[in-house]
Amino acid sequence: MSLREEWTGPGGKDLLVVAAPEVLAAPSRAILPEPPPAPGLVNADGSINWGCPCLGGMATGPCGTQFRDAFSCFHYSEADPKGSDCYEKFSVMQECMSQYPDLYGKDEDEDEDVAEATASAELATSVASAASAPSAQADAEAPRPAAAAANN
Amino acid sequence: MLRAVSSIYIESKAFAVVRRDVIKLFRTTAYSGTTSNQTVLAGASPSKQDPVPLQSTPLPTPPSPPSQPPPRGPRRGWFTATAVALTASVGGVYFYRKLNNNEEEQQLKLESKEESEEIEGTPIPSSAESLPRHVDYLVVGGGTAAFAALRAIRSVKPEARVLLVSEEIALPYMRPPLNKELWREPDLATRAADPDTLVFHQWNGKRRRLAYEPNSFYLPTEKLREGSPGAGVARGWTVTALDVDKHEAKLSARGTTATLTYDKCLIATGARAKRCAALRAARGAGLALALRSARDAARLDAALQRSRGNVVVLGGGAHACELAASLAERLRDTDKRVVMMFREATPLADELPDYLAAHLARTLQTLGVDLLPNTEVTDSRVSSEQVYLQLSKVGGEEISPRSEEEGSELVASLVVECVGIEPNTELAASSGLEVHPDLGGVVVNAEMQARAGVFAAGDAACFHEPLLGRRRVARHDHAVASGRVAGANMAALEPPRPYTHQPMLWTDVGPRLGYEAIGIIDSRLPTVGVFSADAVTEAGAITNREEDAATKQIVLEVGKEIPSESASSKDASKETDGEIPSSGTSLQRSATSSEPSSRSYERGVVFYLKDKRVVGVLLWNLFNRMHIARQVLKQGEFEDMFEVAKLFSLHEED
Repeated sequence: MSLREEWTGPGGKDLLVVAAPEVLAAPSRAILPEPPPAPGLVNADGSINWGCPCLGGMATGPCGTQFRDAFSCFHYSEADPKGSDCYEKFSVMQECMSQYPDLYGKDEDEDEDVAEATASAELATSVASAASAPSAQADAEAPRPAAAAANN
Repeated sequence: MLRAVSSIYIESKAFAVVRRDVIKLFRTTAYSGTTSNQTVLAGASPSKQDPVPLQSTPLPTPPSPPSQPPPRGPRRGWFTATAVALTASVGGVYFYRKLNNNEEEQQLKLESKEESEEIEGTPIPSSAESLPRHVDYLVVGGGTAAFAALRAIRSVKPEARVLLVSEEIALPYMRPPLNKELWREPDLATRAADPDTLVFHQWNGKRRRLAYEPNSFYLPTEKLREGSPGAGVARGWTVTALDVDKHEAKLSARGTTATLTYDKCLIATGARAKRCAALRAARGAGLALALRSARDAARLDAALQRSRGNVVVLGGGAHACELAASLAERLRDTDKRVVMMFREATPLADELPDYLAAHLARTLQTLGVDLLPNTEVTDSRVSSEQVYLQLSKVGGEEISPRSEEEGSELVASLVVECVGIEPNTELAASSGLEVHPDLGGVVVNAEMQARAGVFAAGDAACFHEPLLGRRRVARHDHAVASGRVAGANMAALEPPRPYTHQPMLWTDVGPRLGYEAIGIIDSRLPTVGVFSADAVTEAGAITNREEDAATKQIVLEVGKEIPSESASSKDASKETDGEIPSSGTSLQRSATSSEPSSRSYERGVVFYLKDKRVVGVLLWNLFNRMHIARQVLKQGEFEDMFEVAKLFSLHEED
C-alpha cells in the first residue's frame, strides 16, 4: 500500500494522509446517502413550480403575471400543437415585455455570436444533462457552480 | 425572452419532447430573436466547458520560479474560475487587538458609518411622498439575502407589493466579485463607482452584470404607493426604527423621514467591515480603507492610483488573502509592494491546518505579497500622504528597531483593513428583537423567524439548524438560500419550511490556488487531510521575488519571519509508517523525511471532525465535487475517512 500517515499540527490533532494515485483510484467502500431530488420546473403533482431558479426573473419581474398566465396556459394546454390555444395570452405577455427592452431584450452577454452558434447544440445536450443533474442546472447562474444563485 | 424558454426545456423532461412547438410558439410571440439562454445552458455541466479566456491581460505567472519545480500546472477550470468569496466564515479571523471599551467601539462604528455615508448621490426616491404608505412585505436591506427574498416572495405571491430599503444608492448586486474579478480587468474597479451598469467576466468566461437586475425590473416606488403590485427599492434610505407590534417602520434619507406600515418584515441588514482602532489617524486622512461595497471598491481603486508607495493589507483571513493576491497582481509592474500583516503565524491560521496554511503563505509570497506574521498595529500617524504604522509583536512585545532613526514603524501609502465583519443588528436591537450575545446576529428559529411577522436572513441572522446547531454564517451561498427560505416563509401559502441548506464558500488566492468548503471550517478542530502523492511536493526554500532594496528595507525593519518555519516548529510530527513504500514509485517526489509544513499541497480534501462526526469539508484545489462533500456532511459519521476521501477522485485533476 502506497500510503503514508502523519500526525501533525498542535498536539498532533491533524492527520495527514498522502496516498498513491492508484490507491485513491480504487473503489471506495464508503456509501453516501442519495442526494435529495432537486425541485425542477414541474412539481411532483404536475403543477408549475414558480419558485424554480430556472425561470430567472420571468415570473417575478414586471411582466411576471403575464408570463405566468401565458406559461400556465401552455403547460396545461391540451391543444394540438400544444400551446396553440394560448396565442392571445402570449400576445399580452409580449406587449408587456416590449415595454422593457433592456430587461427582455438582448442578453447582456456580449458573446452573442458564439452563443447563437452553439446554442442549439448546447440545448440538446443540456436537456440530457439536466435530467441527471437538476440541482447544478438550477443554479447555473451562481457566481460559483456549486453555489446558489440569487438572480435566478 | 428565450432565456426562460430554454431553461424551461432544460428543466422539464416533459417539455423536451415538445420543444420544437414551444420554440415556434415563443418565436411567433416574442421579438427577442434566437439567442438562447447562455448562462443556463453554459452552466449545465460547467466542468465540461471549454475554457474561455477571461481577459486580455496575461495571467500572472510567478516571477521567479521556486527552486523546486512549480506545482502541477493549473487545471483549465482554474483559469476560468474567478469567483471570490468575499466573506469568511463566521467566527472568522480577527487580526487586530480587541477594542478595549465600548466607547471606543461606538466611535469606530460612527466613523465607519460616516465613511460609508460619504455623499454617493441623491436617494431614490428623493422625497417621502414617493414612498408607499403600506406594503405587504418590507425588506430591510438591499443585498443578496434581500434580493433572494424578493424573488421568493414574488414567486409565491405575484400580486405582492414588496419594498426593499437599501442604504446604498446602488441596485441590489452580488458581492463576491468585489475583491477578485473586479481587479482582474483594467478599469473595472474604477467603474464600480457606478455598480448598476458594471459588467464583468464570471468564472466561465461569460459576461455578467454585477447588479442582479437592471432598474427596469423594479417597480417605481410611486407606483407602489398607488397600489400597483411589484417590487420596488428605496435607494439610499435607512430604516431607523421598527415597531414590531404595530407593524410600522420609520425611514430616513438625507434628513427626510417617512413612516410606512407592513404586513411582514425581513431584516436583511447584512454586515459591515470591522475597523481597526489604531488606524484612526490614517482613516481620517483617507489612507485606510475597507472593502465591503462596490463604492468601496471604486474608492480603493482611486486611492491605489493616487498612492505613491506600498500598500498594506491588514488581516489574515480569506478576504485579506484574496485581496492581497489581487492587488499584488495589479501592482506587479510597478515599484509598489503589497505587504500583508496579520496577528497569526500564517494566513488563514484560523481555518486551515498548519501544513496547508504554510503552503498558502508560500503561494502568496510567490504572487509577490510580502508577509508580516505575528504582527499588529498599535498606532498610526500620517505625514505627507504616508501612513506610519506603529507595530508590535503579538503578545505585546515591541518590535525592536533596527536603528534609533528607523524606529519600529512601517511606512505605507495605503492600508486596506480586512479585519473581519460584524453584523448590522442595531435596528433589530432597538426594535426589541433578540440579538445573540456571543455569535451576534438577530436570533431566529429554523424557519428564519424572529417573531410573528418578523424574519431575518443572511449575514445578520443567527439561526438554528439541526445538523450543526445555532450559528451565524457570512457566505454568499447562505445569503441566497436563507433569503429564499425566509421569503418563501413570509409569503407562505404552505406551512413554513425550515432552513436546512448547508452553505458553501469559496476562496481564490491568485490563479493557481483555490478552495471550496462546506460546514464548519475551524482549525481548532481535529482534521483528516488526504492528498494524492503526485500532488504533494517538497516546497524547498522560500524564494521571495525580486526583493528590491526598498522592500527589503521595509520588511526587514520589523523582522520578517518566514511562515513555514514558524508553522513547522509547532508540528509534532511523528510518522506512523510501516506503510511507507520501500520503492515508492509514486511517492518519489514527495518528501518522506520533511516536515508537513515544508511541502506543497496541490490537491486534496480535508475533513474537520467534532465528536467523531464530520462537521466540515474543505476541497483544496478540487472543484465540481461540492455535491459529494454535501452528502458527506449530511451523513457525518464514517468508519474510515480514507474510504470517504476516495469518493472525491483525488487522483484526478479537473
